[in-house]
Amino acid sequence: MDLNLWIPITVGLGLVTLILMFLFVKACDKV
Amino acid sequence: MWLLPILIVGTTVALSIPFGRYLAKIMDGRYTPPAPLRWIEARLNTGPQNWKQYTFAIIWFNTVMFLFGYLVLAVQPWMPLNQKDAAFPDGKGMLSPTTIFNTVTSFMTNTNLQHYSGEQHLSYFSQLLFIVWNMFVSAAVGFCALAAVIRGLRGDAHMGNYYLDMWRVVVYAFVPASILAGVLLIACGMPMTLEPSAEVQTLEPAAMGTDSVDGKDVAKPQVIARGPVAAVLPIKHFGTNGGGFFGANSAHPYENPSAWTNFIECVSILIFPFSLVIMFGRMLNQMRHAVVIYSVMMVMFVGMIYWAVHHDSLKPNLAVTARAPVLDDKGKPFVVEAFEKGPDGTLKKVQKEMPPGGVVALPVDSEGWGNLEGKELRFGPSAGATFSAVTTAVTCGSVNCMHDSLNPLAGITPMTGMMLNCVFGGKGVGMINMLVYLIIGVFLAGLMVGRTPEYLGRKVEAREMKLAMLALLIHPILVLGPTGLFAAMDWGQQATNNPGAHGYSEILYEFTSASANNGSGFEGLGDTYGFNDDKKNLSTPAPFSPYWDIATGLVMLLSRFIPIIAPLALAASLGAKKKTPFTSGTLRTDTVTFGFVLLSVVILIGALLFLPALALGPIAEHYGPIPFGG
Repeated sequence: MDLNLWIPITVGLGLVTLILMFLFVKACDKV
Repeated sequence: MWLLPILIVGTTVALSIPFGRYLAKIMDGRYTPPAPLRWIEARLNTGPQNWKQYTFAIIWFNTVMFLFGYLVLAVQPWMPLNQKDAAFPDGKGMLSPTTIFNTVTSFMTNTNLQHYSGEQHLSYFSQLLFIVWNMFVSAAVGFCALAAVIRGLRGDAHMGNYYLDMWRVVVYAFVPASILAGVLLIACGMPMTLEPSAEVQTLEPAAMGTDSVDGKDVAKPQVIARGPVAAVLPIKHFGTNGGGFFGANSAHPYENPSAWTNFIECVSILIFPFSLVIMFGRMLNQMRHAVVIYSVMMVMFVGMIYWAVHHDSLKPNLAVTARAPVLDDKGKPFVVEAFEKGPDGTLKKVQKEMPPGGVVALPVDSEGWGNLEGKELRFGPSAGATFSAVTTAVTCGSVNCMHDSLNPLAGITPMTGMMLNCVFGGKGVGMINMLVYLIIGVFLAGLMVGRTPEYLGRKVEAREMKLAMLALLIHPILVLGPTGLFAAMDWGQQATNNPGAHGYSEILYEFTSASANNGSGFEGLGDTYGFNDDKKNLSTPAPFSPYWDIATGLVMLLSRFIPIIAPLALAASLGAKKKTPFTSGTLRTDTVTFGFVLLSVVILIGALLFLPALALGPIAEHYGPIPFGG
């Protein structure tokens, strides 16, 4: 696998998902 | 046969009562720390946190864990303790980025789904710094979440402090337990060394092949992996992590040398989930209610063990009794020599038609064989089935037999444990999942009797139900959606190790395991890429493994945090309400009747959500032809 492509993609995927969890906290607050 | 599961369950129940009391004391802060630790605790305690602050702290902590873990695994080739041996003369290389992503999310979420083989792909440095660290703290995350939920339900002014809770769980619970268990396991023969793999010359020359040295063939040594196993194993089980040091996990003789270590490991897996129900009752001062929950969980747990042992240890392998006739090229049944017991008990050689399934009658007593495929017989006949029930009920995920080899109906036990995810469940999150079922149970019971549902004296209203449904439904969505997608695409179909219904079961099991944060698998599924440099891999990377890495990684992340965040909000919401006085009309949650209500709710909801998927997998396999659909 091309490390220059896949390392940023996989790190980014993890961070985006965790950011979504922050947003989910805010959503639960508004429920 | 039945002595082993009875001993395991009985010992754990007996230990869980005092241990649960101890855990309640620790989490309530009713202890005096030693002076050096007091200084550290004062620094860690950043002050009382409400539910949002507590949850943000959990997510921030896990974000740092993700980045740290990714870095450790990415720089593995250049770090110390990267032992060189005949199989890996240059040490271990760098894993592929998708394997790193999957491994980091897996250990961070306490899943320990291993799309790699421990002794082949990880150096001692990675095992000690990444694996062991994650095993301690990821296990503590769920524990801390439960403590916060309990404080919310109690109506406390705040939910505690996440960092202080994490410290308490790791330092006062996991570390002492791991040291004690580690010493016991070393005494039973588990390796604990930083020496590289042992290399031995085989008695049979060149049994491992040859290398060409100066134009001459030189016999390759056999490489026997070893390492700091006893550092990993205790927390692997106490933290219901499940990620093995070796690829064969607790079926490996170094991870599980004897029947005694098997017993110790089973009790280690169960002790924290059992004790946390007691802790729940103690902290809430609702011991009768906790006993009802404990009993409901125990009924399901004992049922799971019975089902697995009955269908796997007391029934032969299906291939032995398959009905397909075995015919020669003229269409007539094969006639073979076989042995039969005469009236006087002696064996006589006879000519007989080959029985269906092609199994010749062997000169042994085939009654009570059970299904021996994939089992480690040194533990006893029912150890594999029992361990499969134990490890999947509490989302541990370590295995001492190959779950892919379980008889089809026996395979329902591990799947059910993970699908329900509340039969004791993981430490902390199992009790949290049961809380969701409790809320739904009191809601349904309240509807049936025409009263406002209430739990622990607080009304359950629309907001609480919405949060409960969010927590409940994310799990089946993340199990069934990806399973259907992968079963329909080449990503899944080309990765399975068996055709038909059993192959479907492999896909279903993988996503159920990821979503339940269990980590076991119907292994044989082609989901391992390994090192990024293909030449360093001992086996060819599976072609669709990156799809599996990413899909299961995302499932693990979402299914870890959503069922923690929503119940934290729910507990805070309930705790903020005014307590209604207890009257004769209040639905009691500490009675046998409520126990039946709770049991029915769990089984009915579980059946509605997952029975169709089970019907397509293990049930179809049981009733289908041999070889399974084809």
